[in-house]
Order: sequence, then structure tokens, then C-alpha cells
Amino acid sequence: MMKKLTLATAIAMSLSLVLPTAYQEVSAQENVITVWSGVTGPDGDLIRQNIEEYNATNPAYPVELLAMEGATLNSRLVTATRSKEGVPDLALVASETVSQYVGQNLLESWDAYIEGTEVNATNYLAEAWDVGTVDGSQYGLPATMGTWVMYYNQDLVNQYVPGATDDGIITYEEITTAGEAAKNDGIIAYGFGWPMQNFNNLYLQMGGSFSDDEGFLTIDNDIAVATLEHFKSMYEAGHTNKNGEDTVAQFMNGQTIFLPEGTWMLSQMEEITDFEWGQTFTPQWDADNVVQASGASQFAMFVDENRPDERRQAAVEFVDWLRTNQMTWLESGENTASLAMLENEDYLSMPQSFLIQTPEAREAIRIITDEGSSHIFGEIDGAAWDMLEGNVDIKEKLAEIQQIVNDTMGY
Amino acid sequence: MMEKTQFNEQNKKKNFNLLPAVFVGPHLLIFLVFTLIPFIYGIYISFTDWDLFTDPVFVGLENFKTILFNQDSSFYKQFWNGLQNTFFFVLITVPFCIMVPLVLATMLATRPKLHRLFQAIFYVPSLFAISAVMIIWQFLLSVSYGPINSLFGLELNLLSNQPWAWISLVIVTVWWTIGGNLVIYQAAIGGVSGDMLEAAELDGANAFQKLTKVVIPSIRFQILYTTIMTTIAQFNVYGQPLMLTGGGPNRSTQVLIMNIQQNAFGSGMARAGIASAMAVMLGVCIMVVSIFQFVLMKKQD
Repeated sequence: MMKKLTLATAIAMSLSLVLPTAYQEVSAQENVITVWSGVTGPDGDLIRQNIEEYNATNPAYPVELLAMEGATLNSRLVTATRSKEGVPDLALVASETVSQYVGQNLLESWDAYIEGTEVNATNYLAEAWDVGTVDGSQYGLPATMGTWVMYYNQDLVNQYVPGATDDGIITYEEITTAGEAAKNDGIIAYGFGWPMQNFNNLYLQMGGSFSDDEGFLTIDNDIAVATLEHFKSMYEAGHTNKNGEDTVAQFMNGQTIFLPEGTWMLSQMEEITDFEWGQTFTPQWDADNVVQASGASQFAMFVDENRPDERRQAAVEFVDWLRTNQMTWLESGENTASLAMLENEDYLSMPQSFLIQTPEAREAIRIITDEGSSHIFGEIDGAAWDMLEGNVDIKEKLAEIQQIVNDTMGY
Repeated sequence: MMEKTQFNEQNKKKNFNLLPAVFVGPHLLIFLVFTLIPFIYGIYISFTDWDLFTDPVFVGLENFKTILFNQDSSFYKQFWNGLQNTFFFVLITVPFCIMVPLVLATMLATRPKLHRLFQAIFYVPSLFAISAVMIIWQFLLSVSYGPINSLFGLELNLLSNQPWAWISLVIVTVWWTIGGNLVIYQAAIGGVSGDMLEAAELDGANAFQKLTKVVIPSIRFQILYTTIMTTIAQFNVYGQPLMLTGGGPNRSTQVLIMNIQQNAFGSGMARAGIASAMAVMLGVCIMVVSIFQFVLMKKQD
């Protein structure tokens, strides 16, 4: 009797490992629009709050957000699309991935479902809308824009390069002036934090492109060399931080004059009380030709043959609502891609809104959508400090990166 | 009649003894689903070109030819650089992962004051998750606010310059893995015959001679076993170089598993076939080294 009881208990415990998960998988998808996002932490919480605001309007299809780390998002998209099980209704993807997913036949077009709605090109920033357009069809609907900007310590600006921030545009020439004046005081002129972002901006400002005339990715070129040579000269002149140093901490401690960083760092910067600080465009190579690299995350619809049209329409309704009700999400420091938000006074009072408030600012936006460009970004991130410190020759390294990109893309 | 009844009852017992299967079953199921099947599938994928999203395309031995022989390919450079760094890491780490716990176990065997406290202190790091360990050591070794630089009045970037990057990796790895081998050696040393030690002492052996002539020979099986297991574990190094040095400076600490992960699951287009081929080759290397060590262990036995 005891043996039978033990056997029954053991079987029950074994089944308990499997059954609850199976049950949850079946019931999760009914009557809700599922959104998968790679944004976690406090910013992810703000997105969730924004979605809850939408659900509070009692839509026919409430929205359920599943936030996860970026690498996990990619893995789950792989398993969902291959198994054709649990495919999300919406996935929040990065700008440069839309064309890649379209090339892999993984996305459904929004064309039929946005026709006749306010979700159209006239209501969004052109650069952000164009990210989701591939071969004339719309595969992405803009969500928000994350932009690389520059924070500055106004007190240190007044001391070492007075007047530089008057016109709202700070050039590399002004940074050099500040660097020469400040380095003997142990003050850093330029915080070189995220290499890829700094490189992308200056590279584009110098006239660089990530694709050649035939559409192949290119990084082994003279402009890329010139870009990295410039950063190297700044490092050698003592105008930047050293490798491994925490550039954000240095800025917040009043040790850095100019810190290029993302708009998503806004909430952290707002903790500064020791000095006056501001936010402006990323440093410019040419003040008369402002170029501002940005990303525009997109709502993409992965292929699911079992998805009824009502759900696709409901997803569009959610995106349409978000177009005019994004304030909570934008508290993360992101910018809207929706022109309707430009009429919102609360949004216009947010520090990051300067990036799209004026036509000139909107024209300066550049979004990198070259398929596979993320391979270049990753390699630049890994190799930038080796190049700045002179551990490797810049031309040789760029040639090596080009080879890696060619092999990975299968050219 | 009595014999027939007994025979039938014995048969019944044999037929209905499912209990062991039920207890072992879940583990076997998990092993099958999460280890054996992916292992076999991974070998198949190594013969394909696969971007994870679409169907794999069979390419035969192309991936292996590329990583082993095609010197113009970046995958060839990645593979050989990664393999070289992995072997180097194993060579410089395993001896310390054996010797340091052995020395500590020997010292603890003398039962000094607070030996149980020290035992716990030495063991605790092995309980931490790798990410927690790396975050702690990132701060300790940080050029901005790391206490090590401040304490010794240095201005070294211990994670972005050689040989400090390798030294940092070895120190962190040894610190993290002391506990596992320590408890094995402690148990082994505790099992050394007291009679032999007494006899050695009577013959005039000092502490060092007792250690080298009696204790270590007595626990050689445990030392060989831990050497094999430590070697296999260190061949699979990933978290330490990823989170501490990022594979730098200039890919000098980029181990093979980092390349495998980047090619299969990194940003952009996945090259799972190439990644699997690299993983298969790494598995072959580990198998060869392990077989060699097992043969050695058998000979010693």
C-alpha cells in the first residue's frame, strides 16, 4: 500500500512539472493583443504603464506586454516563428532589423489594415515612417525614437569654452578648444562612452554611408578611417576619458564638460543637483549641416497564418491610440515619432523634444536601416578602444571588420 | 502448489516495480530533451547553412573546411584565435584551480583556530552565480573606482591591457572555483590512514615529507579526477572573458565559446551552421583531452 502511495505521489510530482506550463500556453493568447518588447527595467515599466492606460479605455482587445532582454527577444522570435506557436501580434523591433526580417519573409505587411486609418505617413516623422517601408509596403509602424544626444555641464562650459552652447550646436572644434583649456585642470572635455554611437554620428556627419552603391555593407573606407583618426587624436591630446572609465559617473561628478549619451539617460541626468546641465544635439562636424543619428523602434507583425483579421485590426487601433497618448512612455527620454504629439504642451516641455520640435531638427535626423549594419556596430564597439589606444592599426582593423561583415552576410 | 504460488508472486513483483523508473524518469526526460536531442541536432546543424529563422540548407563539410582551412575567411581567424585562447586559458588556470584548493585543504586539515569559518569563506564564492561574481570583480578591478588600483597606487587598466587581463581572469576564476575542489580534497585528506602518517612520523618524516610522500600519493585518484573535471569545465569558459574583458584587448582573451555565441545568437544575421561547426570542433578537442587524462588516470590506478 505504501509503495503504491509512493508511486502515485512520484507520478503526480513528475506531471506537475509539465502540465501547468502547457495549460498556460493555451490560455494566454485568447482575447488579447500580445506585444513582445526587448525593453526592460524602468523604461520597460513606463511602457507597461502606458499600455495599462490603453487597457483602461476598455478596448475590445486589451494589450498584454511581455518584456524581456534583447537577446531573449530574438531567441523567442526564432522559436515562435519556426514552431508557428505563440507568435506575438506585435513585436517592438529595432530600426535596422525590419529590412532583415522582411528579407527572411518573416513579417506581414500592414498595408491592408492601416488603409483608411490615421496610422499613415502623413502623421509620422518621415524618417521614422520610412524605416518600416520596404519595397513600397509598410512592414513597421513607428513606436518611439531613441536618439544619441549630448549632455553638457553648463558651469564648465562657461569656464572653458564660454558661448559654445548659445546656438545649441556644439562642434568638435569647440570641444577641442575646451579640451586644451581644461586638461591641465584634470577636466575631461569629451566623454567617449558608447563607441558605436559616437562613431556612427561623426561618420555620417563626415559624409559616410553604411552601404556602397551596390547595396553591400561598407566600413573599410577613407571616411571611416578619418572618423576614427579624429577620435584617436582627441584621446591622444588628453581631451577624452581613458578606457574603462565610467563616463556617466564622471559627468555626474562634474568631471566632464560634454557627454554624448542617449536620450534614455534623461532620468539619470535629472538626479544632478550640483551643477547646471543641458541637453543638445550630438557634437557636429559642420555646424551648417547638422546630422543627428537616431533609431526608430517599430511595431512589426510576424507571420501567423492563424491570426484572425480582427486581431490585426485591433493591433492597428492600439498603435493609433498610442499615436496621441504616448506621454507616459516618453518619460523614459524617448522621443515620439508621431506628429500629433507636437501639439502636446507637456511633451514640448520635455528636454528631449528639441530633437523634433523644429523642421530643421527633424531634417537632421538620420536613421540607419542598412540590412546587417548591426554587425558593423558590434565590431566597432569591440575594436574602438584598441584603435584609439594605438593597439591596432585603424586601416587594418577596418579591413578586418569588413571581412567579418562580408563573411557573415554571405557576400 | 506452494512453489507455483511463490513463483507467481515473484513474477508479479518484477512486473510492477515501476518506482525506480518514475524517480529516474524526469531526469532522463530532461536529459533527453535539453541535452541529447540538442546535441545530435547541433551536429546536424554544423553541416548546414542556417540563419535560425528559415530552414537549414545542407552544405556538407563546407563549414568545417571554412573554419579549419580557409585562411581568407574571418571565421577561420575567429576559430583558431578562439581555440588558442581557450587552450591558453585552460593551461594557465587548471594548475591553480588544483594547487590552490589543495594547499588550502592541507592547511585546513591541521585544524587551526576558526578552521570551520575559513572553510565556509573559501567555499562561499562557488555558490554565487557567475554574473554576480563578474559584477563584483568588475567593480574591484575598475579603473575608475576599483579599490585595487587605489590600494596599490596604480593607474592600470587591469581589464584592457595585457598581461593584466589574463591575470585578472585567472584570479577571478580560481577565486570562484576554489570551493568545489576544496571539499573533495578535504574529504580525501580526511580519509588518509592515520597509521601511515604515524608510521611516517616515527620514521622521522617532517610535515612536508608527510605531505608529499604520504598524503598526496594517497589522494592521487581524487587529484586526477578533479584535474579532469576542472579541465573540461575550463574548456567551457565563457562568462569570465565576456563580462570582464569583453574578449579584449584586441581579441586576446576572446575564447571560442564567445565566437560560437556571437555567430549563432548575436545581433544581426545568425550563422548557426558555422557556430555549430565550431562547437563540434571544440567538443572534439575536449573529448581528446579528456580521453588522454582518463587513460592516464587508469594507468595510475
